[in-house]
Amino acid sequence: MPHRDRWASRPAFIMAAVGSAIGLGNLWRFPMVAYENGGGAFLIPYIVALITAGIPLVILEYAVGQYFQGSSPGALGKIKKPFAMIGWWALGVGATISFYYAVIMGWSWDYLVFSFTQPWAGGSENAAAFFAHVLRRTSGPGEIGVISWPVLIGLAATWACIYWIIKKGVLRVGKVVMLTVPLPALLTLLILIRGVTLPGAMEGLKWYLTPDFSALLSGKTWLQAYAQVFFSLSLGFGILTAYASYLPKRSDISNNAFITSFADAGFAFFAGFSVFSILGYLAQAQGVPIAQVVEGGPGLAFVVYPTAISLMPAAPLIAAAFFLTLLTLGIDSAFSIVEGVVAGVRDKWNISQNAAAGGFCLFGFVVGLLFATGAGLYWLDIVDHWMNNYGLVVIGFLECIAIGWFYGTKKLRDYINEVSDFQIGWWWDLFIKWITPLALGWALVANVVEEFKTPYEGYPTWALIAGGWSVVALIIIVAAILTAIPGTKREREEM
Amino acid sequence: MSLSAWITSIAVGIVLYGGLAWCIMMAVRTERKKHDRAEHGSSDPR
Repeated sequence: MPHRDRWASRPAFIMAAVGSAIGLGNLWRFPMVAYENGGGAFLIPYIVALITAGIPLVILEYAVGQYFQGSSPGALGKIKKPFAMIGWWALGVGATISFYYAVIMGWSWDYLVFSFTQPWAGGSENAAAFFAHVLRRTSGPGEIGVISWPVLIGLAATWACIYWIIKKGVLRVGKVVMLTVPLPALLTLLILIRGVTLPGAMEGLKWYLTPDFSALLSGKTWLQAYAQVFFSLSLGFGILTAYASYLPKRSDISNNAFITSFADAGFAFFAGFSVFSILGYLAQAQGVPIAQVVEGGPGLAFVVYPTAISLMPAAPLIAAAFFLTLLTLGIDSAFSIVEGVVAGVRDKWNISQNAAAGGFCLFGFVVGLLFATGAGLYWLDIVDHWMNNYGLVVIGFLECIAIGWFYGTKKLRDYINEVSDFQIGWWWDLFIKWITPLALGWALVANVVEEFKTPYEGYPTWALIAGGWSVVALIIIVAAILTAIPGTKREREEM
Repeated sequence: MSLSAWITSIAVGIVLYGGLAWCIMMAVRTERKKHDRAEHGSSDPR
């Protein structure tokens, strides 16, 4: 068997996988989804979704990568050659996400520098205006505008970091994650301690945790829970498969999957306390109801949080801690996506890690320039929506079909049980063959129906076609071409 | 905060952090066993 890079140790692999799963979404998506879907009651469908879809799929992706010793296209292609297309599709979606994810990281670099002067201070409106100014935001996706210099510099810094981390392969990744995984957890804890000692914090937590059990009767709540688990665990990007392919064939699978999943969900739950204590404080300080300050996504990180922090004593220090948290949370997710793509390219054409990483980072920087323009935020929003709803979900669904109905869950489970710390039972087969694909299929159909009922966020149809459906179609075409063209002699022999 | 909020949060905390702690403990124990076996010259391939 040809030489394959290896993780230095099991903790290095676990930390890298946990770092990949824990990203910006844990901080700015989970708490808001919980708040909008029954508060504390949302935690029930969330844990059900974690057990019935999240953990089984993490086990599947780890097992495929480790057993076949290949990145997503290579590994799936060994089951049946056409299945390599699912892998390329996953990497295409991952690559697309990395293009704009790096831009968000670029904003975080800028805001980390701005933390010391606090130019956003003076209330929510001021912070929103400052964010629009930094981005040179235009009036809509049709007006491209100019590239913002601070964003451009931040973007270049992000890609330079990603390149530096992955150019030496998983050995360096394993060292970097020993800092980038615990550091944001520690900083979030510090912000949480500061947050809960502020007036109004308990009111915020009440909004986060008070259960509205009637929400459990709504299909939307369950759909959101499955979506959150799926997006949060880095499933469907080919990352987990690529990472697991760097483990020896006789390494644990099931326990690693449980650790990754519990750590990811645990961080999201914990981050909610930090977010809502700060929102409670902001609502009290501004004398408005909490519903008026609640916001998710970039709005939370770059408008609401800076506003709240600017009202606190030692604001520059807390702001710097917060944006450093964002950077360290995001960077390991970003380089894991890129590593997944690089692993696929290397397996196919047998080129060096340095060349593949350098080439992709340069390409990512150039493509990412679109998202650094004045219209970048709009395009980012559209592309992100399509990648999450029609990229990742479809890939997860197809992976279940490929393993559940073509390769055989029993065969893979026997291998998993042979090498793992503890055994998994027939329930895993049931989830991979039936429950998970049904849940993902349901999510997909519900998304498509919603898409045609209401245009996403009121964007013009041409923009939704250009940034949404066309990008999905382009990824599928590229995936088909990459599957069809021959790779190196090594790849052909392994298939 | 209401009693139901406390109960839900504590239950979720136990599942997530208890589950995580149990899995980590299990991993540490297995790795230690493997290490011991390797030190005593066992031929276990794991």
